[in-house]
Amino acid sequence: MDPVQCSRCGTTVEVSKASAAQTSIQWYGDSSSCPLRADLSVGDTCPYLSDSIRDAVLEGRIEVPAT
Amino acid sequence: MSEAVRTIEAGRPPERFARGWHCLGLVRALGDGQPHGIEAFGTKLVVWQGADGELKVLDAYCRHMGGDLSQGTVQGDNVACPFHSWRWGGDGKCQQIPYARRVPPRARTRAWTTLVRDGQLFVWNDPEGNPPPEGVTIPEIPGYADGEWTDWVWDQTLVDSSHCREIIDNMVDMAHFYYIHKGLPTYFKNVFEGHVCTQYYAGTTHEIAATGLPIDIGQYEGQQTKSDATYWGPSYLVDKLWNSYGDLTIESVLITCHYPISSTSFMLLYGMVMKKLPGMDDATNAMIAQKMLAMIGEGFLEDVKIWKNKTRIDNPLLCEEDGPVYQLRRWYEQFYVDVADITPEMSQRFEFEIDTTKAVDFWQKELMEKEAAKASSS
Ligand code: FES
Ligand SMILES: [Fe+2]
Repeated sequence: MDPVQCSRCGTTVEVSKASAAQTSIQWYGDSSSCPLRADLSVGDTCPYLSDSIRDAVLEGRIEVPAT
Repeated sequence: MSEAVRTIEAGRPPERFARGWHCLGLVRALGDGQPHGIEAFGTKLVVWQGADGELKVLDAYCRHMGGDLSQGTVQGDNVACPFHSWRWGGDGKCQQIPYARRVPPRARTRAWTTLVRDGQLFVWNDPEGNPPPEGVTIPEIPGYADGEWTDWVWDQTLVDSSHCREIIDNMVDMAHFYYIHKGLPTYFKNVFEGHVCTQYYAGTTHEIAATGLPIDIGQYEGQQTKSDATYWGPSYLVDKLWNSYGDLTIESVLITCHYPISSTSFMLLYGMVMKKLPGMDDATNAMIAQKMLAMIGEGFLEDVKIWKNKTRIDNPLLCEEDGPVYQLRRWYEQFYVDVADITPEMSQRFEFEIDTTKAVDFWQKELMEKEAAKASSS
């Protein structure tokens, strides 16, 4: 897994991708550091974090196996 | 060199019962003024509604000489044992022994902490004997109290020779929705955090897929079925469901919950409320909800058939399209250890989205071929 830092709140999570559409995100601790948490459903991925992960993929910081 | 064969590790089901809130059933069924016996948590419970209107839960076996309180009668707020009529209060204290001058000082039995939420009765189980922590509760259904939803349709089925972990596994099991529940998942994601575990599911039906219409993959919105299902603790799943039929979307809340009976059997309870459809009377709304629940019930029976015949497996062999079974079980483990022994791995947030591309593609082809075969044979 590779670290990704959220551009909004600075939280670092670890991310791995088995394909373009598969994503695993391991947090360390709970998600209370996310300022959006209270407004999101428990299952929602924070949109800022999603953007940060997308950027990390585009910049090649997360490896995405070819399918 | 011979290739190694994978060996199944069956493990053993835990001896203890999960810490958490467990739903025992509907208030309307249990609150009829009669004592009810419920086999659960390795013993038997008695549930009754006192004259004060409160539902109370005690161990059913009378601490006097072992009579079964659920065979007794309700006397005022108390339950009276059928054997010698000792009267027990909801707080677990013996209130009165009609034939005795005084009640022995230590006449106390186990009283279960209860919670009534939206017409359902819950008990708190904790092998360590602690009360429920702040924030560990059962959420309310928004609008239930205002009559926006139908009344509960409810059913239950006994599952013997399985540990309740089998039903928990369903949370991450994307592919079984196609093979067992006649669904076709197109979007599937799990999130674990603290004592909560969620599954986001979107999918279409076999019938729609068989028409060959292109299927949008990886989108939570816009499919025939959308579901947001969350376990609040080890046993109570709230599934917010949206099913679309053309312009009509039926919104419902499906509850799937269980209480353990022994380490190898459990009661599976399921119920539903449906958002009342405008322009329909209550009886019609209730009938639709009943029909939907009957269909869902058939689906559970398919699960049960699998569980009855499968083996327990602690080391499942997984492919990439399977959900995070190991992470799920790590999360589930927290309810079987002392609070002090919960590790960060059990409760840290973890998110996992499955790539459904290959699966949807294969399933749609399979369904179209079946459809074509049907058409050419008729
Ligand atoms: S804003 Fe950073 S995780 Fe939500
Ligand atoms: Fe299932």
